[in-house]
Amino acid sequence: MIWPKHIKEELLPYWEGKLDDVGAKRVQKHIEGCDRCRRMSEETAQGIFLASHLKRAVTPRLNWTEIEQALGREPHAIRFWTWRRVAAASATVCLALVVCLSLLMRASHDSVELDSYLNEIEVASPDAASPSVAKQPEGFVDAGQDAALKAAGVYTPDATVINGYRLAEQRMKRVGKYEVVQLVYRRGERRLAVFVAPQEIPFSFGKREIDATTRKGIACKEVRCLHTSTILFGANRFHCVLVSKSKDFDDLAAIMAYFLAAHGRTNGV
Amino acid sequence: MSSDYVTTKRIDPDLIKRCQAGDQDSFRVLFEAYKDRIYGIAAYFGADEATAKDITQEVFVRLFTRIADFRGRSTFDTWLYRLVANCCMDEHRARKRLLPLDLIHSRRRRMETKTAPHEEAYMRAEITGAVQATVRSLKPKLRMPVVLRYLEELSYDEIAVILDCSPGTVASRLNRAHRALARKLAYLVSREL
Repeated sequence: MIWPKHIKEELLPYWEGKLDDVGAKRVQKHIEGCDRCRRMSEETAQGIFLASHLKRAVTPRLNWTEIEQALGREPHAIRFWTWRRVAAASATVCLALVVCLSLLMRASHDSVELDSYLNEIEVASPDAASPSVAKQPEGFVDAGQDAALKAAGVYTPDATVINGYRLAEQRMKRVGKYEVVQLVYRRGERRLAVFVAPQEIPFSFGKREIDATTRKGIACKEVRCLHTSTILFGANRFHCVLVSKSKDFDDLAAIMAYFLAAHGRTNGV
Repeated sequence: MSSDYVTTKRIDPDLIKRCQAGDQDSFRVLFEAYKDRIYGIAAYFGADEATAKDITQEVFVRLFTRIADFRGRSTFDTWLYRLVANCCMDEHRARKRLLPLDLIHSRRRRMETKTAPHEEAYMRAEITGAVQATVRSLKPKLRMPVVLRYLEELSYDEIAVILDCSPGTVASRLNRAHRALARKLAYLVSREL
């Protein structure tokens, strides 16, 4: 006999006695004629029989004290972790503050401020022979020639005389772990100063405007100053600021070319 | 405090309120009232007695730390059984993560089963022990309805609420569990019936 529908879903209610008489008889009749459902019915009945033997395991010694202890650990643990979180957060904030402060300090200290130096030169005589460029900027101290030239990266025998300019004074300033050098050259009454610093140490010029330009084929930047040529140039590890009352750019370019050549023969700022 | 607060199926709402207020004595009453029932279920999900105890302890810790969340939308028993079911499933998942040792044990058990004939192995065991062992071997999603149905005598509807599924799904899982039990313990049934 072919049955239109198997009664898989009704087997459990059937064996649990949840079907009414009509339903129970229908299931019974189906089972008698359907091998598949009969087999499933037998398995269901056996399963129910077996599952009804399920017994509660004997509870071992399980006392309240253990739970109390576990509960006691719980809030403590929470407090501990909360404390740890607060401590970690505080440490992070402190560290961030220290880093920010040190960065600020570094920003303010790890640069060579030439603004006030340039201010003094600007108010001095516009004469090219003015000795104002030889002024000692704040923080710079007199240094030995060898040490200054070495720190300036131009330690060659001819560095003391460039294009007729003779090295007259040299000063140094320590900025962090670096040295910044002021070399003052003199030719007759004319003076010019060259500041040399590692690329890591920037020069600052206050609020002065800076224009990119080219002087005698050398790419450089010119700081706008009254009656003063202030040219920023550099190559490789160093950058320099040339300060002069002169507007003779042939003269100045020769000085720049010398330093660029000494620093690696690569121009550009 | 007496255990009059707790009957077989009902629990005094005042006791719950006191627990929610953090009353330690009330916690203790609740613990005494439910520890056997909870351990009874946990025993089917822990690998051994110690693990079952751990599950029971975890249930109570969760119960007492989260009892303030019980709003009375379901019965307290249903809420608690859901907590138990979650703890048991968590334990199962944790055990799955610690697979190597468990795998060794299960492989050993399988080897022992192969070397010792089924009849001989189970002849020595009582039917209850065999059923318990077989229920423990069922997949957790089949095991939990069986335990809740036959150990806790809950209705399909109650189980459905606890396991967050439909009563039809509960019936289907029970059906599969019954047939799995019957197949695994067929030799036992033919002897007993």
